[in-house]
Amino acid sequence: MEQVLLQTLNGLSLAGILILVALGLGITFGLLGVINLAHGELFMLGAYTVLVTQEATGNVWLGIAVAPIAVGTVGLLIERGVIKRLYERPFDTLLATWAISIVVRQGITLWQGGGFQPIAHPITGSVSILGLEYSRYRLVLLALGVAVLVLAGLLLYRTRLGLHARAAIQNREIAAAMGINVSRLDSIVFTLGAALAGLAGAAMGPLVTVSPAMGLPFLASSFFVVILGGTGSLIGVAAGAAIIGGGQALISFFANPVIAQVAVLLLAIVVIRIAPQGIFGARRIVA
Amino acid sequence: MAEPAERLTQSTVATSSSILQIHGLTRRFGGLRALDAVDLAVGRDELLAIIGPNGAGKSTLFNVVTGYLPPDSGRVILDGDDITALSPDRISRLGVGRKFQVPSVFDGLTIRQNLEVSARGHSPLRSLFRSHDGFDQLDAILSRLRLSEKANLPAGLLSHGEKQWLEIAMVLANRPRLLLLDEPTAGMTLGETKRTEELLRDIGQEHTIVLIEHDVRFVREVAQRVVVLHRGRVLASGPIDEVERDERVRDVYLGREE
Amino acid sequence: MSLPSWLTGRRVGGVILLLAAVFPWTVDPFEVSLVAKTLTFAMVAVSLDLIWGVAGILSFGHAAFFGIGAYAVGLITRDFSGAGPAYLGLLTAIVLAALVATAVGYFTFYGGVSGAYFAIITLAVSLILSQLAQTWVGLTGGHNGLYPVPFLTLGIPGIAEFTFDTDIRIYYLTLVVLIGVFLLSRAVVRSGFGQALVAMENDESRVRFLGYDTRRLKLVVFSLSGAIAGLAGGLYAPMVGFVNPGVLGLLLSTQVIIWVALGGRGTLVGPIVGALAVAFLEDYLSGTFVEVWLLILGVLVLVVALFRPQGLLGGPAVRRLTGVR
Repeated sequence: MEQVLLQTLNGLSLAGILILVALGLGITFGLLGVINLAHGELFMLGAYTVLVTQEATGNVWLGIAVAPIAVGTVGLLIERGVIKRLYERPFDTLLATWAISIVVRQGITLWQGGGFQPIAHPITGSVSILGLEYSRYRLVLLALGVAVLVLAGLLLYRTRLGLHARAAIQNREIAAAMGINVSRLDSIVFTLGAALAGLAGAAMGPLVTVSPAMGLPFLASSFFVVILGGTGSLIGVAAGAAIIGGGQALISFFANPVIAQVAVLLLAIVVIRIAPQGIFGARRIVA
Repeated sequence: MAEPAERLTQSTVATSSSILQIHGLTRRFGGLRALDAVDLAVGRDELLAIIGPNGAGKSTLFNVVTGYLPPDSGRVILDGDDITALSPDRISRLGVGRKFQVPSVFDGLTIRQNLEVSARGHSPLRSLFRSHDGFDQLDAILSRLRLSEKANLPAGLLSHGEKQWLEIAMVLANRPRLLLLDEPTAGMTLGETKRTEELLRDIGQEHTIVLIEHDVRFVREVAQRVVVLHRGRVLASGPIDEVERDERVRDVYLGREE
Repeated sequence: MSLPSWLTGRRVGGVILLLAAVFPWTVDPFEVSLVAKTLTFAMVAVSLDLIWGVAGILSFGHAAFFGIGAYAVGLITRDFSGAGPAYLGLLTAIVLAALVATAVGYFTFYGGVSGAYFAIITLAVSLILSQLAQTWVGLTGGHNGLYPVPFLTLGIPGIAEFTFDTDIRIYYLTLVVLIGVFLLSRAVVRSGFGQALVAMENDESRVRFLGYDTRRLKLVVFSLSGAIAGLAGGLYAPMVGFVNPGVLGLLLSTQVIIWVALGGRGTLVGPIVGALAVAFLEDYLSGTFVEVWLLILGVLVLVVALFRPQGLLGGPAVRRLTGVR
C-alpha cells in the first residue's frame, strides 16, 4: 500500500515536470509548426544555470529563479536567429534545431565537462502523507506543474496575447490578416516555451544528476506527452504528462527503469496506432 | 452563348444510370454545417458544375466524396458501390480522379514522369518496378494538353496555368471513371481560360466531369447542368439559364437574403 | 550549371572506380582500414538518403538498424566459425533490421505519424535499443559488448572458404558491397516505385488521390532502408572485431544525418562523399578532442541548413552524372 502511494506520488511529480517541458514543445508546434529538437537542451541549460549559480553564490533558489530568464533569452535568440529564417522549411528547421542541440550540448561539455554533477536540494525533509514519509521537494515540483498549467490556462484564455495565440494556432494567415503581429507572437511564445523548459530543468536538477546529455530523455518523453495529448489543449498536455509520468513510475515499481522506458515507448507507439489524433483528439499530428 | 437545345433537356434529373449518387450527406465543423443533408446524382457522361458563394460547402463536398474527410452522416455511391469514408487512395483506385484547387504537381519530376506516376497509381506495389500500364495513352494526353514539347522539363518550371493543365492531364492519365475538378481556371489568364473551355468540352466527350467553379461565364460555356450550393444545401439544380432565373439563386448571389 | 558533353556519368564513375581500386596500394594499412570502416558508414548514409532524401522521411535513429546488424553478426559468428554461419549472420542482420523497421514503420505510418514526430520516435527507438544493449548483459555483454568478433569468412561453405582478414581484403569486400548498395538504391529510385516516392516527397496528398497507398510506400522503403543499414552493421562488426552499445547510439545516428545533409539529399552519391569527407576531416582535425569536433560538425550542419539546404552535391549536374532521376 505504501509502495503504491509512493509510486503514485513519484509519477505525479514527474508529470509536473513533464507538463513544464511538454507545454513549450506543444505550443511551439501548434503555433509555429516547428518541432524544436533543441528543447531538451533548453531543459539542460536550466539545470546548468542552477549549477553555475550555486557554485557562484551557494544559493539554489536564485538559480531556479534565474533559469527561466536565462533560458528564455537563449530561446529568443534561437527563434530570431534561426527558426524565423527557416519558416516553411520544416526539414531544415528540424536539422537546424538538431544542430543547435549538438552545439549547445558540446559547448556545455567543453565548459563544464561531460560528467555528472550534483545540485543541492533546496528543500530537504519530508512530509507524512497517509503514514508515508514523502520528499517535500517532490511535492513542490507537483505543485509547480499545476501552478504553471493554471497560469498558462489564464494566459491563453484570459489575456489578449492568449486570444491572439489561439487565433494564430487556428489559422495563421487569417490571424495575420486581422492585424495580429504573428511574427512577434512567434517570438513571444517560443521564448515562453523555452523559459518553461529552463524552469523545468532547474527544478528537476536537484533530483537527477546534471549532465550535458540529460535533456534527451526529457525531449523524448515530452514528445510522447504531446503525441498522447495532442497539441491543441492544455488538458491534453496535462493528461498526457500524467499518463507518461505515471506509467514510468508505475512500471519501474515492477521492473527496472530501462524496462519501464521501453514499456512506455511501446505503449505510446501502440496508442499512436489506435488513436492517431491523440487520446484527446485535439489535433492531428502530421507535421 | 446558348447551349445546344438537346443538352439543356438532357440529364436535368439524374436517373438510376447515375455514376455518382449522394444521399443525405452531412458534415459539420463545430456548430457549422458545411454540408447539410445534400442529395445529388451525377449522370454518366454528364458535365455538371457546382457553383455557390464562398463557404457554400463546395470543396467540403469534394473532400467528403474523395475520402479526405469523413461525413457525419449520409452515403456516397459510385456506380452502385458504397464508397462512403473509404480512404482517398481506395476511392481513387475505384475510379474517382480529383484535381485540387491549388495546382498540385510534382516539381521534382519531369512533366512526362508526372504522368507516368499518375498512370501507375492503381498498380499493385510489386508491379510498380516495371509496370508500363497505360503509358501508351500518355503521348496522346500530352499532345491534347499541348505539353508534348515540354515533356522532359521539370514540372516546377511550368507557369501557373500550365500547371493547372498538367494536373488535369495527370488526372486523365490516372484513368478515372469520374473527374472532380476544383476550380480548373483559377488564376488563369483569359486566353488560358478559353483553352481550358475547349479542353473540358473535349474531355467531356468521353468522361463524366463534376467541376467547382466561380466563373459563371465559364460554367455557361461548358456545363450541361448546374447545381447551386448555399450554406451546405442544394439550393437549385438545372440548366444554367433556368438556374440563373431562379429568384432564390439571385438573392444569394446578390446578397439580398436576410 | 551545365556540364561539357564529354563529362558523362559513365566516365566519371569509371575514374572514381579506378581510383578506389588502386587506393589501398598507395597508403598505409591504417588508412585503408579507416576508409573501409567509413564505407560501411557510407552504406548507412545511402540507406538514410533513400528514405530522407528521396521519400522525405527523416529518421533520427538510423543507427538502430546498423547496431542490430552488428549485434546479429557478432552473436552468430562469435561462437560458430566458417562461411555458413557468416552468411547466416549477414542474413540475420538484414532480415532482423528489416523486421524491426517494418514494425516501427507499421505502427507509425499506419498511425498517421510523419515528419518530425516520426523522427522523434525513431530517435527514441534507438535510445531504447542502446539502453537494452547495456542492460541485457547476458546477451549483449553490456557496456563491454561482444568481443572478439572474428573476421568474416565467405565463399562456398565447406568447399572454398575465404577469410577477409587483411585491411586490403576487407576494403575490397566493403567497396563491392557499397557499389552494390548504390546500384540497388539507384535502380529503386529510377523505378516506378522510386518515382512514386519522389512524388510523395513533393506532395503526399496528391499521390494518395492518384490511388497510391502512401503508408505502404513508406513502409516498404523504410524496411528496405533498415535492411541496408543492417547489412552495413553486419560488415562492420567483424571489421573492427567487437560490438558495443555505441553502434546503436545517438552519435552514429546524428553523424549519418550530417553526412547526408552535407553531401546532398536525394543524390545517393552525395551521402557517400559526405561520409568520406567528414571522416577525413575528423581524422585530420580531431583525434583527441572529440567534443570540439562535434561542435564543429554542429555548426557546419547549422550553416548548411540555413544557407545551402540542398547540400554540397545537390544539384542537377550531379544528378545527371549519377543518373539518379
